[in-house]
Amino acid sequence: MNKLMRVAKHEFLVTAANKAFVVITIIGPLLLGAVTILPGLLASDPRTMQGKARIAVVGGDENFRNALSSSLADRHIDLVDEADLASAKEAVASGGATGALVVPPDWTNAKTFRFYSRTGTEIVTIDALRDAIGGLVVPDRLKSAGLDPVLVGELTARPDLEIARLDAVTGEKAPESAFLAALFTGISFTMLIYMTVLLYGQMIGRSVVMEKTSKTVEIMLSSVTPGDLMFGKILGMGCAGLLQYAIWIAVGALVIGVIGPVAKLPVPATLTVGNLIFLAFAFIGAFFLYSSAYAAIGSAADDEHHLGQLSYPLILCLMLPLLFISPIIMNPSSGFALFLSFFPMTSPIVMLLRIMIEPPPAWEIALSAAILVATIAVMVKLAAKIFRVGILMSGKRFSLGEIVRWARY
Amino acid sequence: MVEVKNVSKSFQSITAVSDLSFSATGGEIFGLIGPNGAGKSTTIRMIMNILAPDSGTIFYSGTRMTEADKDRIGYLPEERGLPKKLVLMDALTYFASLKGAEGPVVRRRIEGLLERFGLAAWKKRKILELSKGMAQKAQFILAIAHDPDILVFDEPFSGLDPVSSDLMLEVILELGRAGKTILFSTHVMEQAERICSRILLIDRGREVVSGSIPEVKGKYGKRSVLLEFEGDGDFIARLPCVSRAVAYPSQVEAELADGFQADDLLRAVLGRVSVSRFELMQPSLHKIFVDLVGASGEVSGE
Repeated sequence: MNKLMRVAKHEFLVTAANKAFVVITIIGPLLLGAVTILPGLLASDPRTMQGKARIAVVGGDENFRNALSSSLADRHIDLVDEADLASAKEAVASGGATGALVVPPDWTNAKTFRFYSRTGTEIVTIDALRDAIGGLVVPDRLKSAGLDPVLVGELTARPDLEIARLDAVTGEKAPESAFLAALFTGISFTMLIYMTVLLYGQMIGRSVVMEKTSKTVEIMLSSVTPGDLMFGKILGMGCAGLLQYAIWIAVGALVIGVIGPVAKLPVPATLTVGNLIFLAFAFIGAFFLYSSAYAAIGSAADDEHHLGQLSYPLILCLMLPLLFISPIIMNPSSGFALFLSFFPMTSPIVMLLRIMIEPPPAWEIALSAAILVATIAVMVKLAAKIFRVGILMSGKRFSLGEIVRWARY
Repeated sequence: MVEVKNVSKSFQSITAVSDLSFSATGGEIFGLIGPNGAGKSTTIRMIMNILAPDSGTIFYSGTRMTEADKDRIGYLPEERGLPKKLVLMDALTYFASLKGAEGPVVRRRIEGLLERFGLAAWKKRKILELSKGMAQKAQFILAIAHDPDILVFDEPFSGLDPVSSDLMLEVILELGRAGKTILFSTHVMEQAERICSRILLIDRGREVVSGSIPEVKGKYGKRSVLLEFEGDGDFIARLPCVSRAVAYPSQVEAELADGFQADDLLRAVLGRVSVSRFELMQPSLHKIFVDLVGASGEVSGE
């Protein structure tokens, strides 16, 4: 085993044993699930998030109460009769009921019903009540006006607008509740790359600064070249990152392929194993670019605080796709999205978003990848030069401009 | 064997090392001596191939140094530092592996050294739990764990208690007897005088004097006299034949003024005090160091 691989192996083991690594490995799929699957789950069955509700009813005749009770039965809402408002309010206050509904005496012609609630935020219950009351009162009014409620319902129903997405590969129409699903998946993918690249970048930067401040670097350099030290770190942590993505892809495949269909989870169309693999590639690209930059500024930084200051421009570049995620997803072929998908500091994430929403022509993907690889090559070379100079410098806070000039030595 | 030939190194406008040459052979303990900032560490970093010289060449066993030669050197840097979060044994085996030394033999060697330095009970502990003295010893073990031919010790004894310091000295002398080339840098002259077979004194990156300890002392002659006496010896320091003196109640270390001999001093004191010991002394390395370097005002404490 050569020295580069020895350093890489050591860094891999140290990183994979790190608490942050374990936490992020677990949080990753949870975040992905929470952002992509959960909204679908909530939309399809709101009661997933809510138990049975009990509503105290004051006033109204027997017919109204029975009709209301039966129409609310399948919405998991029970009605309880209360003699007067005071006792109803007390039931709400004591937690015996979720809320209290006051039925006006002339309920057929009433403009408003009143609902007393402890929090006012039981949106699902309130919606169900509103629907049920409307469903009773309006047909009653139509009948008294001599109209057929069924006929009126049919005549006033608006035609639905069905949104279909033209799939570029098969040319077939794919049913689409798409924008939200794509937005959620896009946000979660972007977040994952942002989190991991930032985490590993800063880990590398910090590890270099710590070796510098603890003077370990002197011993390291008496055994290995600065290049081996830097690439060993990048490679070792990169492999730890890839291991993490491999775990995520495996978990993702399990959820999409096995657990999803069995548990009938609403897995969005954009969350596919193929996209997860693209995600891993985007990570590799972004990781090598940012980690070599972090290694360079880590070698030049005087302490962790200084490293933090020097890394602001990097964090800003990393955040750009996150800031503009909405316009990019709404219009993935706009000039702006196009630019960000070629600009190497943002291209891994933005190209991934474009691929997920509307696969661009292959040449665009190839060009974006080529620009990224070329930039990585240049960045790595610059970083190695800066690293060689910076790693032996201490006691002074150099500015970013001074540090970049070291690359000329 | 390590040979440094006409090596120079500058940082921007500062010349750190200028046209320096010396060589150290197997079995010898070679002292690189000089005040702080003299260029010792820069020289050592060039020997370690951490810095490249601007001009000049460094040879290992007669051939130009390459990156691969790093495996043959053990290095104890002046500024100590170990990865604090690693377990002691893991750190030692990792650093040995970076020198190409792996396997059970290396592990046994490391365990033997830990035992010898009283760190055996700490091998499973993290380095941050070690006391400063323990960490020093651990770093020394790290330098010699891969059994290198050439050892570079930069201020090895600084901050050690006498017992640990003696133990380390014992091991260093053993390594010398085993034929290793040992390069030893210090600004503590008493240590250099006790340990080194040859020295090179540098100041501001240049050679001031070099050679074996007797040679160096010989160059600066026997111009000091140790005088033990009974009686009031206050006048001795003021004698015209004495240029400088360190006076104690019954003892004086006197340096003879130019143009005077030891006899002149003896004649001057006879009859005024009762002399019990009169000895021509070689100056200590410390004194030579202060005389040669002190004038430049560059000597400073640690």
